[in-house]
Amino acid sequence: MKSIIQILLFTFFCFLISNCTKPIEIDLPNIAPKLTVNSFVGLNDSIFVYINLSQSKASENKLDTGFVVLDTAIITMTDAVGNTVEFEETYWKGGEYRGFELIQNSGLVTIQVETEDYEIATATATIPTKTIIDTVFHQDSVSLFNDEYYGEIQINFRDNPNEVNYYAVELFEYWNSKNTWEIRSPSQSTSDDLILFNHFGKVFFNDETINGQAYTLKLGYGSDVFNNWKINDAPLKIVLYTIDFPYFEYTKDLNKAFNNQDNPFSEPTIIYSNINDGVGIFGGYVIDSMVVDLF
Amino acid sequence: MKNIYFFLLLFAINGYAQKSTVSGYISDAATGERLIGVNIIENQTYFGTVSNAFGFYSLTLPSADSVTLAISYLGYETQNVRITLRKNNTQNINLATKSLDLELVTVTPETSTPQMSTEILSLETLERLPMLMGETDILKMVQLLPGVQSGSEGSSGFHVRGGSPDQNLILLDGVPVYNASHLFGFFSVFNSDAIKKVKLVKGGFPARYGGRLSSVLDITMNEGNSQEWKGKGNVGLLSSKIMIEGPLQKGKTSMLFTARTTYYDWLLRPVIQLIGDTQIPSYGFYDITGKINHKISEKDKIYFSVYTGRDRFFSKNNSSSSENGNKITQTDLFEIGWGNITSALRWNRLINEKTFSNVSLIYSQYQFGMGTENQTITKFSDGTNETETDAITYNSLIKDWGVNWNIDYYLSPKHSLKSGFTNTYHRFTPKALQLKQPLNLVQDTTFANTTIQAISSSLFVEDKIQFTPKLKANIGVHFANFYVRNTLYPSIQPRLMLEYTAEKDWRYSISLASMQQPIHLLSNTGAGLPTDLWVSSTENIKPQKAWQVAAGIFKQWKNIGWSASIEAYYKDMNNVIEYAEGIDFLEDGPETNLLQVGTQSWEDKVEVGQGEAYGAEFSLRKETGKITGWLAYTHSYSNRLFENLNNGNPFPYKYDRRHDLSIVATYEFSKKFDMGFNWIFSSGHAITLPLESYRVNPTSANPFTGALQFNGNVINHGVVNGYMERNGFKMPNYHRLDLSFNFYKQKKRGERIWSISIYNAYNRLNPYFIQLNSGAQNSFSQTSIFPILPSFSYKFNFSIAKK
Repeated sequence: MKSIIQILLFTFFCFLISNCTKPIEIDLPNIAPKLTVNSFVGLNDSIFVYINLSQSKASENKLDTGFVVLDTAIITMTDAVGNTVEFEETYWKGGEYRGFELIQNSGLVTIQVETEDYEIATATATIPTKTIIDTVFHQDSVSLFNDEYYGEIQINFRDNPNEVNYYAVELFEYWNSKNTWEIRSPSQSTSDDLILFNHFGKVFFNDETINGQAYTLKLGYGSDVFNNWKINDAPLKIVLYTIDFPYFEYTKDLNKAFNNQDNPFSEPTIIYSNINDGVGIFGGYVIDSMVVDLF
Repeated sequence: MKNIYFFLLLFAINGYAQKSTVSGYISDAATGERLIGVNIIENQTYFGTVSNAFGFYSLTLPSADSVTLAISYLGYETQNVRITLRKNNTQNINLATKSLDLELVTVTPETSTPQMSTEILSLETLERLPMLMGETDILKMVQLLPGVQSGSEGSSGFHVRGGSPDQNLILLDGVPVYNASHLFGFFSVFNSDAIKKVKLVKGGFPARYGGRLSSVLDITMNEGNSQEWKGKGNVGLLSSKIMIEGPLQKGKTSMLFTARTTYYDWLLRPVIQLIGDTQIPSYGFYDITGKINHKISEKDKIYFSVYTGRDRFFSKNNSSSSENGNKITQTDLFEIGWGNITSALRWNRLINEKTFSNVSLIYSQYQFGMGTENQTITKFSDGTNETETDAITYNSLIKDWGVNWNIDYYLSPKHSLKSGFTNTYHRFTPKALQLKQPLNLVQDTTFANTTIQAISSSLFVEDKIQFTPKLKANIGVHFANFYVRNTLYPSIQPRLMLEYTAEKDWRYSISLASMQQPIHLLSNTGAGLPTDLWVSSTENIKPQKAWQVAAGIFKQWKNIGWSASIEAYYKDMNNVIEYAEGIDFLEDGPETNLLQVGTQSWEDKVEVGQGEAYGAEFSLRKETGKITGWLAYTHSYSNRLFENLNNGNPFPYKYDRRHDLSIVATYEFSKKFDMGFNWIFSSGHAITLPLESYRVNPTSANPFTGALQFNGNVINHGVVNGYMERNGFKMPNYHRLDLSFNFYKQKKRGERIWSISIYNAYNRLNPYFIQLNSGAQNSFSQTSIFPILPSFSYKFNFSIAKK
């Protein structure tokens, strides 16, 4: 009997050791650093270009400090009619470059980044035709979800039937106490005919199912949010971005990657990049905005 | 002229009168179980046949006063039966198991290959082999065979010749089983005590099989001892099981019943809760198998078999608090459950001595569910109560109803024909999300409850031809139709296998098979998790298709009990599917959207592409003597090509393992003690690792101008990974040693066996997955799940003999 108990205890103890995690070394190939270029160019908007170098995973550098910023890059940006934009490094000196001029023409914009020791990186973006916000309405207590009533902000616009369009929408509320606009991320949407995703409060979608239509985008906010707006009589600012394909695709992949980090069972996400001989994104956009007093 | 006609007539009459048919059933002499695949050969002409899936045989021979049939079957004494064959003759034969008193003959594993690309598993060997937690598992044994690879560590999923786990058709008494796993894929649902025969077909598929690309695992249940009541029991660390079989009416009606259950949930957990921890999670599974058969007449027999099994994992947390004099009790429940139900009603009819018919009605169901429920009970200070409940459940369900009709027609010693018809109605609900609101606000919403109904039909014809005693073939065609959402997918699937037996037991074979598979398994991990979704082809997603060619050489040294084989194959696959990049099974679609829960179809989450697999398998077996076992080595390649994955470049399949080696042996020291040994080596499977990282910048708009700007604070800049080619990195190699020791003792009414099993005897920490540590650069962690795992079990076999 005693030996049987000893056997039972021994085997049960071994069964408890059921999860072992240990660090391991993996011999990854050492990838040469590439130019990383991040920039979005908008019609009549300030232009910023952020440049640094990628890091190989085989590098010994720590993640936060190992990225080399490049302060001496030569950037050439040309718009659709041949106008060029000159750049200087910004006050913050973090690899950010500010353009002296604005892009004032829709259409193709090209960028070329030259640095010492690395390949010249190039890319092309498109500043699309602006889509205009027609009207903005609100509606209280439209739907119920998770024990909470939601109100809606309804944004009306007409999609351009001659192009494939990609959009992003942001809503800002004005804070009197701080004298600032703060972004307010929607909690849900009943626009079921769209494929929407939310990236840091900005809602992205395309015109695949609404091409050429006069459409009403409905963004839902909780009843407490609506109540606050009523109490504060707060104006709201709606910003409608018409963006190009690289901007949309890049953000979509980025959203997936951030959502799936630390999940060993999700499929890896390859982030879209349109930088030739480099990585990153060069995207185009144009905005229309409207300030409304709904309450 | 009259003379010519007379001689012709005489010749015809003589030709007709010179053949007679002997037919009947082959059974186990002790139990009455019908035996499948028994060889029956006539000693003079060497014409022969094989008993079918119900133990029936038929052999047409030249009429003679004396004909000797040699009946042989591995594990049984060969019988020579002399009969008079002047007219059609019924000869039922009972075979006795081989005597264990013979010195050189102990257990004879039935893993020899009766034909190319086919393996027959020995259930006696299975009982002796070391297994995880001492649980004998058919699928774990299948993973030790050449050409078969396991998925993740401990998983019962298997990959055959570069295919994915959904490409294996698993049949239990002819009924498809969709998820053959207990305990998140660590054990199979099959109770080995209920099983009579297990056959794995990896290529050269006979025309009777269809619906999957890579393999058929055909499992036949025992019928139940028709002579006496017997039973078996097994008490192990994880679960216990019992089997009882016997005659309800001797020689006519017999039954079999098995049951298996874990006891952690209903025995150990309450004890642990009494000690102190009231909130530990619970897990348990059970499975029950039953079969009854009845001999209506000499020509008719009916069978009814059923399997049901379920797994359940749940976690329940209770908490209490007070607020403003009110007492609030909150209960949070999280539950995952899944299970199968299969049943088959079959009628065998012996139409005549050459024609055997089987009609089956089948039902198969697989259900998976996951849910959370939060209940809040508020007891107010005035004595009133309020209850609020929120619940979310996720369900996936498949149901099949089908009818099969097969005919075996033994035309002549040179031609054995099979033909049949199958019609199955499928009902798929791959995802249904249901939300329940608190009772005082009635809202019960079901999203994405997309039920797909489909009908699959097939017709096959198959001819086993013996051209000469040395040259035979199996030629057939499988016609299939799949109808779903007003879309028809017909296919014609030719099948061919040729076999030539040369001098000195050398055998050469080639085969060609075309297959189509109208249903798919969406799997994130390949680990056989219950979260894997079975989905139907639709008007947008076509059935998978494959062609496979194979060639092999087999050699047997009968005098010393050795055999060896080498086989090479090539498989080409189309319309295979994989999850798109960045997808997890619960996601709504490629874009994780706001709260538009469940509005997208699974069809939007997958990519469709091609696959290719090729390789060579080598096996060496010893089938007699005190030491028996086999060595199986596979060298293989498996690749995929998808337009929208890996930038349209080909990439290795996740389970592309270059080398796979299994060494399996059992040694019988004496009648009281034997041991088993497995050593497994496998190249690591493929994963995708990041090669580089770079900064991205979340953007926001300038609130005054609307212009986009970057956040100047460096700490808030995000970092993302740039990946190598998909599946471009190989995990570390996998290897482990398992040992088992079995101690036998005869008791008054049976036999008891103590089994000690050591899984992973040298404690190799094989990787289950590798993960990049978040926030780190070149820092990876490997997680393993099974270190050295000893276990023991107590088995007993008993008989209930009537006095």
